[in-house]
Amino acid sequence: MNKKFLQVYQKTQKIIIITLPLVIGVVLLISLLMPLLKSDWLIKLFQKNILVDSLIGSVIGSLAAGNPITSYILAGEFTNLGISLAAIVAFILSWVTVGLVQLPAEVMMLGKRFAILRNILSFISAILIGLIMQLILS
Amino acid sequence: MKKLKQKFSDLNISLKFLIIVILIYLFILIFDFSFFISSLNRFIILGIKVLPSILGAFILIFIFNYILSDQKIKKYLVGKSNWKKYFLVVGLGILSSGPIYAWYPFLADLKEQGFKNGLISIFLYNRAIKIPFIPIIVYYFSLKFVILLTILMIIFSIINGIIINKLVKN
Repeated sequence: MNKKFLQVYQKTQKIIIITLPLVIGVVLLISLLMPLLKSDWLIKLFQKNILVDSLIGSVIGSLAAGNPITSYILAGEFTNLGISLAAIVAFILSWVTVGLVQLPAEVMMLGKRFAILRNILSFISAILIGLIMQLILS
Repeated sequence: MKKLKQKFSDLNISLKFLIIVILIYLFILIFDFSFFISSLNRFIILGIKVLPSILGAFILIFIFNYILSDQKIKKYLVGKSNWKKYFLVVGLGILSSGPIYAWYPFLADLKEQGFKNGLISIFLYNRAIKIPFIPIIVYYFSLKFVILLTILMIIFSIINGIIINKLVKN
């Protein structure tokens, strides 16, 4: 085994030792919060006001975690209920781009200032993209 | 008790986080056994799904460290951001798969070598564009919806990246 291989191997091993407990912790936390996102009470929150609904959609998406496919299916259900496109887009986008559950892990790995600012910007972007899409597609 | 406290504070931060989550589970075990079991089942299912992505991320860390020397990374991705780098990272973000947190160690490692915060943000944002799921979104919405959403996401990811580069120094 050459020297470079051994050095890279040791460096990767160190990263795994630090990261693995964090990843297990996040998966455990997501597993705990999943049922909250599959309930009917979510649908009752929307009020048929584009701005308020976009904000609600973004908040719910931010709290959610898990496979994005769940968000597409839920969003499809929201469409059938007459919820605005802006709210649906905000919900889908914040589901993947904002991660409140993963925030502790992001803070630890990438820095507090970065993680908080990135999540805030992603939250605002989700609402803005939702509103732009509503304007263009409706 | 004092010794236990000392031992806990000596642990690295990720182990502390895991212990706190395990304590939450123990608390649930006492008060709601069925919720504890269902959460544990979900953990096993999700864990099996997530495992390949995490392994993939670790393999990528190894390959990147092995193939790309610090100088090579500095030449292509590290240093002053420009449009070429922005679009390269957009592409990498779109092509990456697996949960967001599986990528944190890889990005933290790149950051240590000088990868800009704005580029990390662009990478993470574009991970939201999931190519394998596009047919599902088209099924629920439309192709026009997908194209517009993708374009807007790329534009906003770059705007966010520029803001982060300005506000969060490496």
